[in-house]
Amino acid sequence: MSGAHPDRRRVLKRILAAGAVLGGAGLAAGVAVLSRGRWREPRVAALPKARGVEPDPRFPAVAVARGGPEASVRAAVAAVGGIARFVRPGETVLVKPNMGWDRTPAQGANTDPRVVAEVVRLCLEEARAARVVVADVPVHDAERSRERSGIGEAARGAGAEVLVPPGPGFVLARLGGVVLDTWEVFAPMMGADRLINVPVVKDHALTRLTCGLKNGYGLLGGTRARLHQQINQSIVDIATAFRPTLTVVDATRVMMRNGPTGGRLDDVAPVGAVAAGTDVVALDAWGATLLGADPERIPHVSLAESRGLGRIREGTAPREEIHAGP
Amino acid sequence: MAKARPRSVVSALVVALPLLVVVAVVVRGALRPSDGSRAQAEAPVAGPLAGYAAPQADLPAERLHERVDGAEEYLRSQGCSRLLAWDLADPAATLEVLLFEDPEGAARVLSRDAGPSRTAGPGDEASADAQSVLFRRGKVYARLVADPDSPADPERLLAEARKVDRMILDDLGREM
Amino acid sequence: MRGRDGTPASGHERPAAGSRYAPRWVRIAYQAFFLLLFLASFLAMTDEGVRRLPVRWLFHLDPLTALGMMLSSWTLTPALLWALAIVGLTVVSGRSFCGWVCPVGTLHHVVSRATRRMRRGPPARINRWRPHFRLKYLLLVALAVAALAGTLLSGLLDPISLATRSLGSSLGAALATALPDGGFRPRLFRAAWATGAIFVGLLAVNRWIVRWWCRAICPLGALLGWAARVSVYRIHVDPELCTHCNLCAADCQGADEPFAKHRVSECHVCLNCVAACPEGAVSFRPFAPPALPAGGVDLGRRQVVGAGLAGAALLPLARASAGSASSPGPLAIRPPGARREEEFLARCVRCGACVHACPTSALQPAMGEAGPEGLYTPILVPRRGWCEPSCTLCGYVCPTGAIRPLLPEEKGWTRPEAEGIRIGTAFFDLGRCLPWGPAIPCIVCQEVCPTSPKAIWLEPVEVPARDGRLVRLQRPHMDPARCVGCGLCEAKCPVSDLAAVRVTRVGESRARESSLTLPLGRTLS
Repeated sequence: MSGAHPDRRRVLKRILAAGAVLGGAGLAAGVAVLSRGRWREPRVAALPKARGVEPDPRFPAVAVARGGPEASVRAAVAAVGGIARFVRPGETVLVKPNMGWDRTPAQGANTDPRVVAEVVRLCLEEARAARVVVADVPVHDAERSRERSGIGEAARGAGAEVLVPPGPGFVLARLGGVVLDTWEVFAPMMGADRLINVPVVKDHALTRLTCGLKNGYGLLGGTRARLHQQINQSIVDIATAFRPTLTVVDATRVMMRNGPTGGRLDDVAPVGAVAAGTDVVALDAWGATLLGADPERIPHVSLAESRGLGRIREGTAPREEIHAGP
Repeated sequence: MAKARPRSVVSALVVALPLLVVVAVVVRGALRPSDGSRAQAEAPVAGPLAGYAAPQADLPAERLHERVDGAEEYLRSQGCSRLLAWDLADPAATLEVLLFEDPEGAARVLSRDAGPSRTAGPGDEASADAQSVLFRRGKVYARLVADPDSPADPERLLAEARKVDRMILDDLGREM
Repeated sequence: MRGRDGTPASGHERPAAGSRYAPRWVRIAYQAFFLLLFLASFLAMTDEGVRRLPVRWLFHLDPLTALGMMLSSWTLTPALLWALAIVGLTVVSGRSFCGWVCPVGTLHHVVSRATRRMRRGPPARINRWRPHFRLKYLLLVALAVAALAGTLLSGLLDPISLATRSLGSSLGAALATALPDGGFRPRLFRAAWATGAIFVGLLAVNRWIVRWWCRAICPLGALLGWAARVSVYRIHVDPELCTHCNLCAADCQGADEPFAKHRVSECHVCLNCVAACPEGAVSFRPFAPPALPAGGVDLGRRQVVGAGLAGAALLPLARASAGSASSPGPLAIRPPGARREEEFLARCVRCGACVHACPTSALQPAMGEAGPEGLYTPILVPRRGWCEPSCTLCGYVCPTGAIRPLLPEEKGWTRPEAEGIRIGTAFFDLGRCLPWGPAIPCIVCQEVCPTSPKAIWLEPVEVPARDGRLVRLQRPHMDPARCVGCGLCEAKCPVSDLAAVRVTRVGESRARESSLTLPLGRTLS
């Protein structure tokens, strides 16, 4: 029976081993009980502070130029104060075109790539911005929309980064609207110092017009189709939260019918105009007149006016248009 | 071999002891049901401020985001268990009543909304201005905010807040 | 060969195994008590029962459930600290949980005992250790890695979960069906035949290999076996007294081979060997020296790595499947209080306690509705039953808090005007709905709708019948802002096969991305 007698060394070893296993299990369990677990509620981020510029009485709220796309962009932006009024050297600029559809430029469903590229060049070359990001959350397949719209190639050629989802992903952000208080926002939106809104004027089946106010919709993620339940209030909530620094409206080709997707070249009218300004409501009102619509009777435009986002009259008032040349 | 018997009987008795303890605990619990784990909902109980108008919203903690989208996680972390809301016509104002697990949670939310200063007013502590009356009574926190479009009558607002406070007090009294 | 009392034992007839060895009787008493406690807990998963019995206690004693939950959800329900008691028991006295406590082990023990005479051959051969008994360790590794990746599949093979699930959603219901009108409400469960066949099949294997489940499959046994390697008390065979009669193997439960090289990680501490030894050479004692030659279980490194890789591959494969956690299918309606899907899958041990407890049989084991990893998780099937407005029982039987226990007022379905938990939204199928399609009067769904005001409202209409007469009807409409997804309308719809009003998951309040409607709007201040 001698082997059965415990020697001190073995006793100590066994006790230590048993204690180590029990202690380890206890420690792990204790930490786990106190832990809040693997899943947290998503953090809600605040949108960047105001990116707008002070009103300047020397410049009109809206300027319209006709001619070639590039020349029109330059002329219209120059007329509202020049790009240097909106973008400071070294800043990061987010350019938000409408790049939502798997359509070619001729079909007029997306912002014209030449307009986007010109805005990018203005920011980089004239305003000496450090970085220009062109971003949108397309409705159709993201990469196809980016390339078939021509914006991907044109904007990259002008020196911008072009981002579509999944890309840098989405951030849950506080919009503070009436129906949209928090929503998923495409991440490039959060880091930019300036936001330049570059919509295209189009017909829209549900809202009659899609232009500057509605363009912000393209920076949202989530099940944004849900927004169509209260589309007008949602558009105004988005526009109130995003407040672009400058809006450049592409009306070089205007889709008059069957929006927002279109497809038929017959639906597209060659208007050949570009408008720029700080008053999105006025720019949308101007766009509505191109479609032959009364802006007062487009609910989201009049709602935006009543929320203090701008003045319809500034857009519909007769004005002298700039002839920009080819 | 026979010499091993007595020892094994003793160890058997020792080993049987925990079983007897467990049996005793289980049997005792079976005879005396606990109230702690009651899996059945009570008969309908009147909500807080039952004498008041029917609320426009009465949300459990899980659905706070439907009214305070964005603030729900903070409110839950402070122990907010329920939110009731009314759109009042006279005075033209919104009333929100938030129920907390303890007065400390309610007090922290009041402090976040109102900052450190307190005014004379209803409840255990209150912060009132021309547009709003925020107050806490026990573990209940109430926000009465005048509609921005209509001219606010601070006296009328304060009187309504006092009325709400009395009803909260009655509710809390019933609970105790 | 001699019997215990010194009387000669003839031929292959084995001695009455140690009937005088007292600790063995204590072990049987433990087994009987815990089996009874398991059955009582099972039967007590009712409103009244949960107040009288700790119905989840056996789950909470289970270190595999605790480990799995910790790995997958990075937190632990405080009640699972009870599992430390079993860890403590194991480091003191080996896998005594398997031999003394585990009700599934006891069931297998009983069946293998009952089939004892059907296994012929020398004891040392019948109860020899077989290399494939290492499988349980590899399963444990694979399940642990899968848990760390975020899906808690250990419950599929955890004995307490397995038994609760098999009894609750198969064998219990089958028994009720077989009894001649025993006053039981017939209960139907999805795939009950498969659920039950697995359990019965595992029991049947005992005819060939004693406690094959415990020896070869059970991942809890593997976990405890790993801890048992440091145990203080263990079986010791005195080499000077041993005559190599191998009688110690006759009723050995664990195939730990006390006669050769005792494997402490396999031993169930049933003490049959101590009782059976005619020479008194076998003892259960503290600080005994290791068996000579030392008997361990060698797991090849390649096998362990392979098992880990298999476990790691499980989750990505499951999550790459449409209808899994990131976008559960429309019929993955979870019970009220269920956590968000990913966290739910990381906490749910697939024990089916909620399925068993649900008074209306509305909760059913998911087969494919919640994706491959959702197998045996609970889903609400309104055609089987509805979520009773006043009932929150599922949260009170859930051992891991995958379903939160709701306060009575939190569910909110019995309070007028209340906006409580939502689990889904019902929609009408207008072609099948009697007033909408064939123009037959019916208002059952509106009648049973439990919210106040009702989510279903009626529109009075007059429509022409086939013969041209006008029929007065009330057509039901659903107000999605009021619907909580309880399924009463679908359960009671007289279109008895595929109901004309059906609930899907959309609108459930546990995840904001499931919202159907926008917030109603609020006052801007």
